[in-house]
Amino acid sequence: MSGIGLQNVVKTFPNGVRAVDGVDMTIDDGEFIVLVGPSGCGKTTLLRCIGGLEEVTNGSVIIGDKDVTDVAPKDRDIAMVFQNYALYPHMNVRKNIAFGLKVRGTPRAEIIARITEAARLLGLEELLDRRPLALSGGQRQRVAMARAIARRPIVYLMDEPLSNLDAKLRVRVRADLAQLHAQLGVTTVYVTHDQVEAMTLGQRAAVMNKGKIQQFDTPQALYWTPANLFVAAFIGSPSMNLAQGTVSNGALHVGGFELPLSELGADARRLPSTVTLGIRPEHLTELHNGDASAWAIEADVTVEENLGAEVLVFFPLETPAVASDDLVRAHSGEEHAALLADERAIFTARLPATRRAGARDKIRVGLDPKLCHFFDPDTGDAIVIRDGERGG
Amino acid sequence: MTSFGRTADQRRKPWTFRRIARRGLLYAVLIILVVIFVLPLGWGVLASLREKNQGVLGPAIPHPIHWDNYRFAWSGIFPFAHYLKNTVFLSVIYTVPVVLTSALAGYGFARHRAKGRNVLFMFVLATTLVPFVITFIPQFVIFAHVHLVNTYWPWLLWGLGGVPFLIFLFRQFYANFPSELHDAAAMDGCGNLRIFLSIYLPNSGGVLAAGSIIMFTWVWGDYIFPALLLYDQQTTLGPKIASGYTSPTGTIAFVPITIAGAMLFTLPVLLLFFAMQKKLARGIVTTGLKG
Repeated sequence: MSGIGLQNVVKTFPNGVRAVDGVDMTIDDGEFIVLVGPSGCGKTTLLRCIGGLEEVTNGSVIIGDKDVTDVAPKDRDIAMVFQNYALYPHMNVRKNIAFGLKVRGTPRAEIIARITEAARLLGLEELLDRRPLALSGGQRQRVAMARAIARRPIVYLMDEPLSNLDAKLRVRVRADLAQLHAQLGVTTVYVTHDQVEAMTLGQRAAVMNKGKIQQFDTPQALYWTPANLFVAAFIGSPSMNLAQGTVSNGALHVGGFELPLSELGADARRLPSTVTLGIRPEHLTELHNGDASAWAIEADVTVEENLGAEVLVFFPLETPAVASDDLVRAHSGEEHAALLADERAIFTARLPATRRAGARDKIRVGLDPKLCHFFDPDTGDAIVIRDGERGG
Repeated sequence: MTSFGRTADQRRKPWTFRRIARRGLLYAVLIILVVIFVLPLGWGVLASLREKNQGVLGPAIPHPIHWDNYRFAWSGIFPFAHYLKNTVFLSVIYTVPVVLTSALAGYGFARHRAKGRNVLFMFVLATTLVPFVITFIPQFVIFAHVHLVNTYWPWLLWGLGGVPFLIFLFRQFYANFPSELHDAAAMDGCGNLRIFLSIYLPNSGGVLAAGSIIMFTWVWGDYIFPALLLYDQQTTLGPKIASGYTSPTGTIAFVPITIAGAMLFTLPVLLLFFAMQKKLARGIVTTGLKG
């Protein structure tokens, strides 16, 4: 039994920064969970609290059925893979893998067997006598993984282990990681700021912001039913389109367009008088002459990016952009974040590459009301219109 | 194109008057410095080859050359090898512990969050401001009381206490040591001492070499403490050479032989220094820079 329980974990640094702010989480035995969020959101600090590398200021960390809050890292039986791999520079690959086992008094024959097994699993047989300096980034990453695997701990912690790899290698190692977890079945907590890793690797993912868990759910749930504006904006690339609207006379008024609420059924009553409307770029459909849609908006195209397989079309709505510090943080790293500088709400539509028209044209897009999200503009919390209808 | 993105021609600057003048000035300063450092050594070599009764003011170039002064210095008047052995022993029993304990203290100051850590570190540094002449007599009295005079124990005890300068050197080095290595070793099951011994120490080659040479050279060349605390057969070459090369009645000092003895005394540390010069330079240069 090696699940992890976090109970109201708080970490405040001596300079007063509260990096982790009352986190409660239960991670099941053998589960692969991802902590994801923008830089500085507290995900690495939380990981280090689990590992014992940071003392928690308040709360408890439970591994298996043991409270390890005050237990030293060496006694927690956890292995960690670091962002920069942290291989011991004076030891060759074999000794790097063996070190943790040696420290724990593993018999020599057992150490040799585990090195052989880990090296085979990660394709390191030829590199065992090399020092880290003589390895490429990808090879170092694999050695760091092998070092963790050979230990056979009850929990793996991984702190952005793929962030120093190039894009192609990252895709491959990501697949290897998923496969390894399937083989080993060890509880794993993985930190990343890359939502693709969060979506593809995690059985569940926790989106963090300002030291708090915003939502802890399956990647599909994060995508389809975000709990608040932050999660909605952070998960998905390009980000969810957001615009402020008002509800009156049985319609939602957004950017000069009138979207009849009858399309939402009886539950439209739940909407307050002002609401933030959200729709993902991939859920907008282009409407051509004669196409009908219950909800439709029309605007001038400002930028069009042809990515080969698809086209991203950017267009403004005549309504102020939904802006908050949280959203700026959620968009950090977003390629199109610069477009947020516009005071108007900029919408993005992800359309098939077969689209012919270019920039400066008018575009008319349809919004499927079932795929729209609604948020309380004051709290940012999602307003649930119809439970259980969405889902990947 | 070179790796710096410029061609060889672009890198080869023309010899302008300004450049020649700057280069000339640089060489002039370097030559003056070399002369300042080498002149005493050169004078020593020449003076050690004069006739044994000639004083400090003998001819600059000895004629004839008395190589046998070195033979005399080695075995003619007192057994040089015996005192050399004492000096090596004393230097080693001081240098090894002082470097290790200073490294350990530097590691503690660099890596362990504890209340009052910085105040304590400032206190350690502040002790360097106390001139040794103030502690000199009290130390002698203490060692005399505990019957450690004319033994090598004081050096071992000093060594175990560490030296503020070295503690500072190691602290700066370890403060810039990648913290992930520390964390990785902690996760691998190491306690603090094992992390120090297994990870920090093996990766401290340069700064260890620098610290060792500085301490070894200091204790090797020390005159005051061996003269104060060690007598007769126990003493080291420093006091022995300074007082030992005289006529049997002690009335005539054989200056050239004394200088020959001093040259022999200098040779081992000079060779050690040259052998480890590269490591020493790297140790000092990378202190505080390694990231």
